[in-house]
Amino acid sequence: MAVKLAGCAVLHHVQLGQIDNRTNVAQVPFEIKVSETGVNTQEISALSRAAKNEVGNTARNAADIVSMFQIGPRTGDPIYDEHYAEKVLYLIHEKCPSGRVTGLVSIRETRKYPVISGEIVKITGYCMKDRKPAAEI
Amino acid sequence: MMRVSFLFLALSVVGCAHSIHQVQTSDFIPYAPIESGRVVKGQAEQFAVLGFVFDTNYLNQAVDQLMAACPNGTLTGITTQMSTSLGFFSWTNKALVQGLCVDHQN
Amino acid sequence: MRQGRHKSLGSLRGISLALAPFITLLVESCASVNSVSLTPIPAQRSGLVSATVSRTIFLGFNFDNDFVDKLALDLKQKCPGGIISGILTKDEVISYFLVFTRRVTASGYCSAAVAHNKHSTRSSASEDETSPSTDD
Repeated sequence: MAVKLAGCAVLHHVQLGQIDNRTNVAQVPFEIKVSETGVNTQEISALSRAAKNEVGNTARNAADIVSMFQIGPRTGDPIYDEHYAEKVLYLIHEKCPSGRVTGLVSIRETRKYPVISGEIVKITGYCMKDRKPAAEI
Repeated sequence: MMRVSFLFLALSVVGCAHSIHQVQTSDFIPYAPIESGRVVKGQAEQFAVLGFVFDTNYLNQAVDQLMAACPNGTLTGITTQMSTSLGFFSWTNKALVQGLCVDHQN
Repeated sequence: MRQGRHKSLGSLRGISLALAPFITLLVESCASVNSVSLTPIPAQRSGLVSATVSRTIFLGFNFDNDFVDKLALDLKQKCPGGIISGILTKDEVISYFLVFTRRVTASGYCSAAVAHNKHSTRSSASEDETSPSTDD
């Protein structure tokens, strides 16, 4: 039960970009995470079946109807806002206004809980900044 | 009453579920601040009934659209999003590509 | 005699009609995308080069994915001495009955303008028959 409530992490896709590891610039790490709640109607249906009363039956029927309208290839659980990850380009520039970004890692993952899930897009990287000249002694 | 409210809830979410499969970010080379260019995008869709689709050319269309929006510039920091809008025994595959169009390399 | 021929023709037609869905299932293919990636696209977009590798897998029996390693090599050979940028990599699955083909296509712009085909858009490049295909 404790394990179930803690949530399982499922990695769907990961990709690395070019890494500029030259030493003449300082690299400031940043992370962007956008997410949306996914709902698993099949799990709602299964849980409702276990209730074995009228409310449970109605909920199960409703979940089964919804499931019929949610057919197609899935990564994680279905979500209800498809635009949540569209702003990552702006968010990267917000974190690194100079646009000197390197070592980008794009991750698509799910944090799975009973019935619901967190459908996550995570981008990590480094913003390159010129090193300040060492203070004269 | 409970049954009606459940069914209402069910119908209210019908036909608007999606799945994001992948969000990929390209390198940001040439490096450029967002003010030095403009964000352009290309998007394309493909409707599928029970998976009966015979090509994936919609992706190429999205990329062609992106390039057409930036005919003379360099496209940097390209984000590619693949998703599916789920439906009643059918679905719509979607591709969205966005990038920063920089006319003069920095 | 003529009636008998009509009867046999009718039964043949019936059999072919009954078999049609199965033949369609065997021949028809369904395509889906696994993943896509795109690298920065240059301002000069001439010299489109592309390479494709694929493997047909029966009943899911596949023991390595080494066929993909040839992709970068093929693309490199098409642009000797140049820089390939704006690389669109598409990993797709074409499913047939009991069999599926994993196909990975990469296309990009060769800055040295050593173009092996004269297409200017990716849509036409993807349909290009001349691009090398490796089917293990």
